[in-house]
This record gives sequence, C-alpha cells and structure tokens, in this order.
Amino acid sequence: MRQSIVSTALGVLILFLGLIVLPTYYISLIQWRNDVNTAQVSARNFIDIVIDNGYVEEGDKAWTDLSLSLASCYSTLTYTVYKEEKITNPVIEGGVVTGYETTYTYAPFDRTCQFATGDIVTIEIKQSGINTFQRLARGLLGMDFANIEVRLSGMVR
Amino acid sequence: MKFMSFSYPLMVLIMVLVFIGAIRWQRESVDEAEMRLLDMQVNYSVDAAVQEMLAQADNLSTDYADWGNMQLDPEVARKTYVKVLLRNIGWSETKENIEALEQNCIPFFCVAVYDGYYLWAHQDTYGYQELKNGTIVKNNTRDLIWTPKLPYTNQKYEYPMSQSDAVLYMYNIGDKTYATYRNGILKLDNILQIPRYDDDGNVTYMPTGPGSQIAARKAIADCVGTSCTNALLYGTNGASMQEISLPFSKSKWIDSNPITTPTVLTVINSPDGLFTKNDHFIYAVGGAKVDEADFCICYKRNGTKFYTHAFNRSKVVANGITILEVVTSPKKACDRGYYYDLAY
Repeated sequence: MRQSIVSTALGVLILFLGLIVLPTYYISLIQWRNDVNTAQVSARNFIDIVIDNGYVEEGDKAWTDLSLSLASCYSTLTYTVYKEEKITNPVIEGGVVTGYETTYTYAPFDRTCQFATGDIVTIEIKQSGINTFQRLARGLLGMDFANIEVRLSGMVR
Repeated sequence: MKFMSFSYPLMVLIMVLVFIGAIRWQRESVDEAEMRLLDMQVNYSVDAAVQEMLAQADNLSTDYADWGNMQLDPEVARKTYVKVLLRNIGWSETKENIEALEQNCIPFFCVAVYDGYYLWAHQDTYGYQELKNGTIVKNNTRDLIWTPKLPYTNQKYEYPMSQSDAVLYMYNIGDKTYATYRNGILKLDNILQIPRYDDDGNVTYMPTGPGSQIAARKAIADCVGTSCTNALLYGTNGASMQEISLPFSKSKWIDSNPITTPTVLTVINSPDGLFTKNDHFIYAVGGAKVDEADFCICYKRNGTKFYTHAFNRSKVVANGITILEVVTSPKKACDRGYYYDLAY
C-alpha cells in the first residue's frame, strides 16, 4: 500500500495534537489549579494567624509558612499585606459626647507589626510570572493562565 | 487492513472529545476557585460584623450568661459586614460601590439576638407625595430597610381545634422560661429540661411538647429560616429558589450548631460579571464569641486629650508623657472626651 502525502501530513498533525498540545494543556491546567489552591490556603492561614494573635514578627511561622507555600507553586506569585487602623473619635456637641465616629485609615506596615482589636489586615496574592507549560499552552492555544489573584481581608479579634 | 481507514477519524473524534472534556473541567475549576474564595471572604466579613456588633454593645455585662441586659445594634453589624466585604473584593468604600453591592448582591441581612431577630431586606413602603398642583398621589417604594425586632413565636391549635384554642408560644434564645398567649392571657412558664442520660448513654427522659427546649430551638430556627427564605425570594424577584434551613440541634452530618448566641446570617448572590466571572450563591452564618477588653491609655499631649492602645505605653512614656487614666475600650475613652492619637 502506498502512503499518500496527505495521510502522512494528517498523521503527523494528529500525533502533534495528541502528544504535544493536549498534554501541555492538561499539565498547565493542573498546575494552575494547584497554584490557585495553594494561594487561597496560604492567604487564609496567614489572615487567621494575624487576626487571632494580633501580632506578627519577622521570622514568625506566619511569614515562613506563607513564603514557603508560595515558593512551592509552579507560577511566580507575589504578595502584599496592608493594614488599616480603626480610629474611633467622639462626636462632641455643646461639650457633650453625642456619638462616635469610626473610620479606617491605611497605616504603615512592617514585617514586625502589632495590631489592635478592630484593625483590618488585607493580603493580596498576585501572579507575576508563568511557567514553561503555561507558556507553551499560551503559544499553542492562546490560553492565558496569568490571572491568579487572591485577596482576603479579616478583622483582628 | 480494511479498517485502517477508520483510524484517522476515530483518533480525531477521541481527541475532540478529550479536548471538550478538558475545557469543561477548566470552567469547573475556575468556578470552584471563585466560589471557595468568595466563601472565605464572606465568612471573614460576617465574623467581623458579629465581633464589631458585640464590641459596640451597650451594657455589656462581664457575665455573658446575662443576655437580657445586652443591647445590640444590628446596623453596626451590617455596616461592618459591607466595609470588610468591600475590602475583600477589592472595591473602594464609596457611596456608589456600597449601593451597587447592597442592591445587587445582598438580598437580606439577618441579626438574631436574645429575644427576637432583625431582618434587613426589600420591603414595600407606602407613602404619599404632594404634587405642585396640590394633588396627593401614592408614592410606594421598595427599599432595603430594617424590620422592627420580630419575636420568636410559634402558633399552635389545641384540640378540639378552633380559633379560640389558638395558643401563641414565644421564646428567647437560651432562656429558661417561655411565654404563652391564650385567650387574651399572657403567661410565663419554665422550659422543660433537656434530655437526661444514664451511665450507658441511653436517654432516660426526653421532654417533648411546646414547652421543651427542643421545641424552643425549633421555633427559633423555623422563624429565622422562613423569614430569610421569604426575604431571599422577594429580594431576587423570585429568581432564587434557595431555601434557608437552620438546624435546631447539633447536626452530626455538617457539624453545625443551632442558634444559641447573637448570630448574623446573610447571603451573597453575586451576578456574573460584577466581581466574579460566574454566578455564585454563598450563605454565611456568624455567631458571637467572648470579647476581650481592649485596654487604652489616656493622656494629654500639647494640651489636647488623646488616647492610644495599651501596647503603645512604652512609646508614650518614653516621650515623657504622663498617663492620666486607663480604660477598657476605645469607646470609653471617647466618652471621656479623648481623641485617637495617630502619632502612635
């Protein structure tokens, strides 16, 4: 039986799709799922530690766990932490306190920081880079996986 | 050899099916990730709402069993919930964003307290407006407003059944008494005791009937659950067929408790495209917890009365400032006319 050029080309195309494109897509999707899960769990654990203790220090379990979890992801993830202080002031009319006014204001935040009850801590985890398989999937299928964004805010107890 | 001609189309078919399956899995993954994140965000917001409501309560006795003296403001809980939720979804706290969130995503907000519950939901308000020519016309609106405190009640009919045999039972959370209203007479009775067990764990006594603790918890769960379900249906114009059902005893399967302390219940009904890619419906419940005192130190700096948190004491003293008094909360400091010191 003589092999035609068309069937050879078709065979190569099918092999390429089946052995390169589809596995790349699957692997990149699995890695994306893993990264999203890790980012959400890390953010939740960090917020839980901060709102329960009201204090973080350089070298604490909160920071090391967060950094190690995000470092284990396939993509490159970065985080930013914000602190908002709760400010309660009296409303004085005619020399008498008639009510209270509560506002929140962004406060400087260091890796060693004390929080008061009622302060709000926010962590934002964003993706800043993609890995090889995701890059391949973007090149072959036009899929964009660079969209992981996790934002969690909690009030200190 | 004659079946070789089928191999190519078969392979293409298999690859197409696999590809379609993968795309479906991708969409499900995105949906699951969004729902999980939104669930965490809503739960943190509800926890903050309950905590702030308790922190700003008046007459907060140190005896947390003394529920009767606690006065809670549900509006504090709602505003705190919205504040923290806005930060969670990454929106700024502007009037337009607050309105968009409340109108589109929060069909109801319920605060269950000791002797009743408050429900913030879409309600019809009936009013009249006078036109320029003096004509009075109806001006009915449908707004998101609070109900008055609604009691936990359960109406039953005693045998033989007639309207005059209707009995209204009224309960409080965790109380040892309940009230009945029968034929115009209001009466107070003791709640029947909870079940007793022997050494082998077998039940020796299980009170039943309207005056039992189980009946009280059922009535509270039914009242709150039914009202929230109706509010959800009304708030979504009938689009949501979800039912809010609360347990009346500790649930073994989902490890949830009945309502036994001041509780906040709400849902997020986020339409697609607003701040998530897909539609999501998240239900959140938050209960009270024992609050600790937030000690503050009060002093004068440059002639102005300031206060700051007690953990800043060393910094204040290091600046040569004399501490005038110590109070147990920022609110008490404000009562005495002290302002928050941004310097520390």
